[in-house]
Amino acid sequence: MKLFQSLRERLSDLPMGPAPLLVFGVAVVSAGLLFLAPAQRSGANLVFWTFSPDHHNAYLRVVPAFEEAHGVSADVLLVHGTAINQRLSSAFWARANVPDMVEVENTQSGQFFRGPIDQVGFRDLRPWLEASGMLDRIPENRLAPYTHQGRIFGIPHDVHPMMLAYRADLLDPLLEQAGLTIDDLDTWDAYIAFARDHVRPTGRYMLQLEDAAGYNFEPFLYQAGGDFFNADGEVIFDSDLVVETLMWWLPLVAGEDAIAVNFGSWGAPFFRGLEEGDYIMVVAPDWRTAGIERNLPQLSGKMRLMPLPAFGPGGRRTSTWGGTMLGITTATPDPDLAFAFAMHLYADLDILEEKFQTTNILPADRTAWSRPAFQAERPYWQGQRLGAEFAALADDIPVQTGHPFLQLAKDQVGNVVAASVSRWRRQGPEGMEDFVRERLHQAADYVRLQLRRMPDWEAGALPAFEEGQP
Amino acid sequence: MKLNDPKIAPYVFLTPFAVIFSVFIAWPLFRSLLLSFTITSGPGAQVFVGTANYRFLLQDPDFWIAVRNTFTFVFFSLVIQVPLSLGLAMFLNRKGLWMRNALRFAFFSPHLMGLVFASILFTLLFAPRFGLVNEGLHAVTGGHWSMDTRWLSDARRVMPALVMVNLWLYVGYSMIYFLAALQGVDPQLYEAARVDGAGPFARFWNVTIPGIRHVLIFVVVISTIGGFQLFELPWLLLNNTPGPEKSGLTIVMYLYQNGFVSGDLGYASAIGWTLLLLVFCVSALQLKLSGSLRKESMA
Repeated sequence: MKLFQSLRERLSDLPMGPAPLLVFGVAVVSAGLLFLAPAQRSGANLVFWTFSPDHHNAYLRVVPAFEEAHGVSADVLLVHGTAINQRLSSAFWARANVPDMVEVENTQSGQFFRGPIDQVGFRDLRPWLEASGMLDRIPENRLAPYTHQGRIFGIPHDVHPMMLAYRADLLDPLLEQAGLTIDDLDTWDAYIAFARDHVRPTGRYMLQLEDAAGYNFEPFLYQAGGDFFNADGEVIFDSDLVVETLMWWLPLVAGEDAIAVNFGSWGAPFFRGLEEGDYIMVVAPDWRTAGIERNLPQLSGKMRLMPLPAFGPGGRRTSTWGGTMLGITTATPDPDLAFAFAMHLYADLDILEEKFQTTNILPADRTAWSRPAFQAERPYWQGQRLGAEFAALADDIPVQTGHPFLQLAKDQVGNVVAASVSRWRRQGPEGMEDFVRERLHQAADYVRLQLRRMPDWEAGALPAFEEGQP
Repeated sequence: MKLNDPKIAPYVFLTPFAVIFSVFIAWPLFRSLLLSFTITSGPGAQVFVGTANYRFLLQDPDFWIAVRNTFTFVFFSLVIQVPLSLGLAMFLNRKGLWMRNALRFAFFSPHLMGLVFASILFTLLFAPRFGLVNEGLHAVTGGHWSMDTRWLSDARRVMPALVMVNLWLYVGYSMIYFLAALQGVDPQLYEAARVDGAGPFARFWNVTIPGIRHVLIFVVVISTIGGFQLFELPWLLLNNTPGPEKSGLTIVMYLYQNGFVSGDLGYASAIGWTLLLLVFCVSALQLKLSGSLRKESMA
């Protein structure tokens, strides 16, 4: 008691009383506790990050079978896409808490391929893909986004062929009035003419397209045979083909003859617009169809899908939008086990079939496409065989060349799209082609400048960048 | 040696701060300065490039777009926010005002909401066709304002939208500072001014403004620094993009994109140090113009 009394007196004698010392003590004790008992790391043999709730739910159902078969444990964690991109980069850089496997969206995947090739945080999966035969089962174009300098850093999760989803209850009567069927809209010229002559007079729009960003232009760019980079990594998005495609796309969304309207991207206005028939069609890669089913169940039996019209007779009737890769990190101590888990998720036919029923996503492994679930008639889509429809287009999807600067290139093109739409709306089509060409050149030169700024990582040499030299 | 010796005790208390400041602030700042002279792809791959990052910055069109947007945001936020906050504070400082405390809380409360929530809220408010902002303007203008107006997807309207959301969030916050300052102005000065025949504007200019001068300068400087650090609001409101035609690209967003999306920590550091220099210059200019850098008279 005396000791306590004396301690109290001594503390009271401190210049600012006992409070600061108490705060300091609490800080020291907390820091000590955190140091001694850091956040628990997963004790599982495999840790797998995915950004998609749909994928996550599907994986959780099938993990126990893998664990049982291999006598290991696997943690599948749902991590927000943005967090994956940034946390994974940081984790690679700091060599800290890197998962064994991770799913990355294809626009972002390129950023992980920057820097010296031997410091990329993902393993080259080519040997495993070849040995397992998986390489032959994946549509060839689907590997492009995840291939860099000849190494395959990711297994494609999907194919994502694109179709048009439409309100059949609204479109069919208009087609009938025009004496046409949906098969007659097989080229964009026929499609646009029908939209202008028969749909716009009703006050509805034919299509929903985001016009303030580039992501609804990209599928058309790919369909037309354009790309952001070529196989040698050179910037090509200011080519004549891209100028022509953008000049073709702009009057779809701008000007008096526009047939498309912008209801935003995948939010409440988007769904309300489709429900109320403000627009009739929406570009629909396979993954979007499940979202439409979920968000608009009241449209069941009223929706159908059609292939994209081609740019010319006999041309490509599809494109692609989005995509996910599964990468195995260099940090994993057992890459064979990780690849076995990847195959369990991506190549087990029962699992792929079950996953398709909830996500509508066509898997990259073509052997699954003939399974019953892919041939089933879907009441929501007026009995269309969704899997078969998408599978029929899968081998026609265009190449999306991967590149460490792909995101930058897409952002640049998106800005040109937005600027061109604004200009068309303000000033009309006069001088538009020159404007588009000049803006695309500027945007491409900017990406080239950024590329020239990068050092030769392998040689550790200074960048080629010189002041005033774009 | 006794720890409670007045000569030693201050150093004992300063030590934790000094250690934490050195480890978590000073050292990273020094490292970021070194980083700004390199091009990186994560810490594992660095090449020393001297001042190339800074030279590139000067001719990087995106950086100048970010500078222009940031200055525009700071300017309009200040020009509108400060007078509005002060006016509101003066209004809510009136004695006998009905529901005065409730109104004060109502105007301050937006600041209590997180930026994420505010961004989600305003994404819906700004929506074309259904958004309340368009509906309100449509009603007020007797139908002249188009319901199709795109606030967040039209490059010309992105900045006004950002300024509006910023005002909604921070006018009440600045108002609290002004309210506190107004309550510190001696009422007798107003009485004396009134007796001397000063009108409302003269009383405001000669009594109120000098009385709250220090708080006014504080609010202006803090708002300026906050404006230069603008990131989360456009990032969330524009769906993790710089917006159409980069109309929402700010300096900090550009730093973030380069450092944490592109992985070029060196260039991001160069942007960060340039931002520091800009903020320092603008704040010093503000303090100089306001006379705050003059030494207080000892008389």
